[in-house]
Amino acid sequence: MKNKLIYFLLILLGILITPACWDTKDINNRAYVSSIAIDEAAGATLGQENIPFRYKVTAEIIKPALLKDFSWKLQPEKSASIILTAEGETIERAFDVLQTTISRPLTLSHLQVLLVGERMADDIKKICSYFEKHPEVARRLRLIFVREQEALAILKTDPKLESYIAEELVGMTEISKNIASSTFKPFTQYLSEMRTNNGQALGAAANLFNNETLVRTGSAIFNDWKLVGWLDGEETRKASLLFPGNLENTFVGEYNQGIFTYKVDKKNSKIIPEVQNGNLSFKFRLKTDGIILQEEGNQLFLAEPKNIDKLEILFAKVIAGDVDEAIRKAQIIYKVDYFNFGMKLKNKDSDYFESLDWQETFPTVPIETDIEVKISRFGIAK
Amino acid sequence: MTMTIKENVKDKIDPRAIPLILLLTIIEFELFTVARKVFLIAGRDSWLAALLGGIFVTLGTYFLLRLMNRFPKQNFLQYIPQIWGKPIALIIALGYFLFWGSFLTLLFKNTAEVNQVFFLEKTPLLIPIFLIAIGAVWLVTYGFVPIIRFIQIISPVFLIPILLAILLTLSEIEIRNFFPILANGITPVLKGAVIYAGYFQGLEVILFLSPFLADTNKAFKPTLIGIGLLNMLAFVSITLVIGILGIKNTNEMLWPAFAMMSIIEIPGFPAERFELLLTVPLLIGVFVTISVTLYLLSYGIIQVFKISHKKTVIYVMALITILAIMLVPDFAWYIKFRGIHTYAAIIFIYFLPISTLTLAVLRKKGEYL
Repeated sequence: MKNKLIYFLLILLGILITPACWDTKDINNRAYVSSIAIDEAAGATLGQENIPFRYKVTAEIIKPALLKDFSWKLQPEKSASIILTAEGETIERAFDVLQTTISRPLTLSHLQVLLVGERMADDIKKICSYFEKHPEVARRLRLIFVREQEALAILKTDPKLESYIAEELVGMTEISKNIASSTFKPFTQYLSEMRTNNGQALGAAANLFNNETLVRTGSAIFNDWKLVGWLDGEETRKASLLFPGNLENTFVGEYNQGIFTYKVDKKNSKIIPEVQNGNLSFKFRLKTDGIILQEEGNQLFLAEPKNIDKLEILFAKVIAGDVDEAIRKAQIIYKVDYFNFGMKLKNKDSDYFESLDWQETFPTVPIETDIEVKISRFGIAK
Repeated sequence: MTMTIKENVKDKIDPRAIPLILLLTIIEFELFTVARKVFLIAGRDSWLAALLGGIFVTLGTYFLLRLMNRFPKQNFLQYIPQIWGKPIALIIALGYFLFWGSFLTLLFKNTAEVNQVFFLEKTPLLIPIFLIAIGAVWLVTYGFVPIIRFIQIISPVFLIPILLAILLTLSEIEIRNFFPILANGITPVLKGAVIYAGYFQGLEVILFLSPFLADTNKAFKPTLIGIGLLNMLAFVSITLVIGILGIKNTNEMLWPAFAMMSIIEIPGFPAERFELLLTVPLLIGVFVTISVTLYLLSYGIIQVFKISHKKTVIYVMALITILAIMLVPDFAWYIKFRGIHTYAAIIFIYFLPISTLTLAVLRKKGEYL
């Protein structure tokens, strides 16, 4: 019995003490990075002029003491985080430099947001490779491309409602899941689409309006893993009609000198590939349901079913126009299948799909639209 | 009381414990973090490969049970000399020792790597492994029944987090990730199904259960239920991984289940890293698999070579298999070796026992003639 007790105590001691000798991970002694901005480096820094720096890495590091003390919120210029920037040949090398400027080990286990500046967007494959391989990084990471500015400019803005900018961005992406004018795509979903569609997908976008107001709107368009263009908020709103999911969308139509606002809160869409006599075409079916929210000019008595029918026809045309515009943008302007028409065809007839050069075929494929609008409500006033 | 592999022990086990024994013995890093090779071969149709492979595994299990039932008071290593003759039986036994020994080494190596990547980055590779091995050795020295008792006691801690993890991830599935179905035909699915069956290393423990069962006839139902549960769990894991990560992302991951868990997010919930839900079951699964494999290896050697110093054999086997991880130069080699071992498993889990059963029937050996 005595021997067993000694044996047990030795094991317990070993389990408790030996790993900690090498791997003390006290949360009080770590610097938690909440967001990272990747930009193109301007040039060599820190006296290492001969190394061709490529990455300018900016990290937002949470200051736990400020999170506890709410009085700082009374001073609007402050955030509960600090922003540090370093440049390096690779992202890890930049982190090595960053580490020399801070007293605690940098930790990515609570990294929430990855911002990529427009000039680095073409290197997205290399950037993703780092974050995908890093054992500390969780896959729920939000990937956002920053239009026109450096990504670090976003990190330097003051959070409006939250304690630090990453928290603000997380909140914005959460609500943008239902907002048609912005794309929400977590890191894994973005990578999955890019890998499946030979580097074609839409990425989430953000920018600074008037260089000061953070706006989460629009989308970044990728083809062959390169950034080929952007959709602004309005274009993204139109494009969202072709995406699955119930994204809230608002339309304005004019009828008999009256202007009406229709808010779609339910939609059901389907892309149907059709091959007849060797000719490929697609049919896009969309059913919407929503509410009339605003009337201007000549108003209609909305309690009359005939008037609702008229508005349904009106908004079917408006929505069809938006859908056609979104498809034209993808087919003619960017020649990128970010609506995944190709995947629908592949799912239906993979042999036929494989026989096509989809990159060449997509811009010329006829796409017919069929829109059905329903107005089931008109608020609490006629 | 120290029990050996060959004794017709007095302390019998309840056949109802068999599903848990199989679940915890077979599940370890590779199967539970999802059989990587199945994804590489069958792609997005891996869920079909799992379904088909599940049928192979169930059939294999049925034949293992038939074999066990023919020799209700003996274990596999005891009755193979009657069927194959002593020289061939010795070669088969040595083959099994090599199979279990190499499996233990690969388990230790994988545990060490996972530990270093996710938890203890700077701790020397061997320290946590030695700690796990000390615990396993201690348990194994007491024989098979204490291992089963341990499995019974620890199983809620193993099962509840897994069920919770499944519930949390279900809503993240994207149906489109499963399409197109059978785009590359049925051949990759068939190959994937065979590989899937090979990942059920530990299934051969059925052949060593008979001395611990009062009535081997009663083992059929719980064993097949256990295998059914295990198949269902593996099928759900594979479906979740493809449905959430997509096949292209999955094939980039070393531990897809961990990647899958790191997608989960509950806004406003105080915890962020739900991978922890997998950590405890994985550690338990690995510990049990190591213990059972070490038991089979050590007691098999003790039995075949009639060695009286049982504890010494267990210690030496544990030490050798741990030190053998030094022979695996890096993780890339581990992946290669594990792939080869999976093919070997098909021989040792299915081919040899089924051949033994066939020969036993032909030569009219065993009971139930």
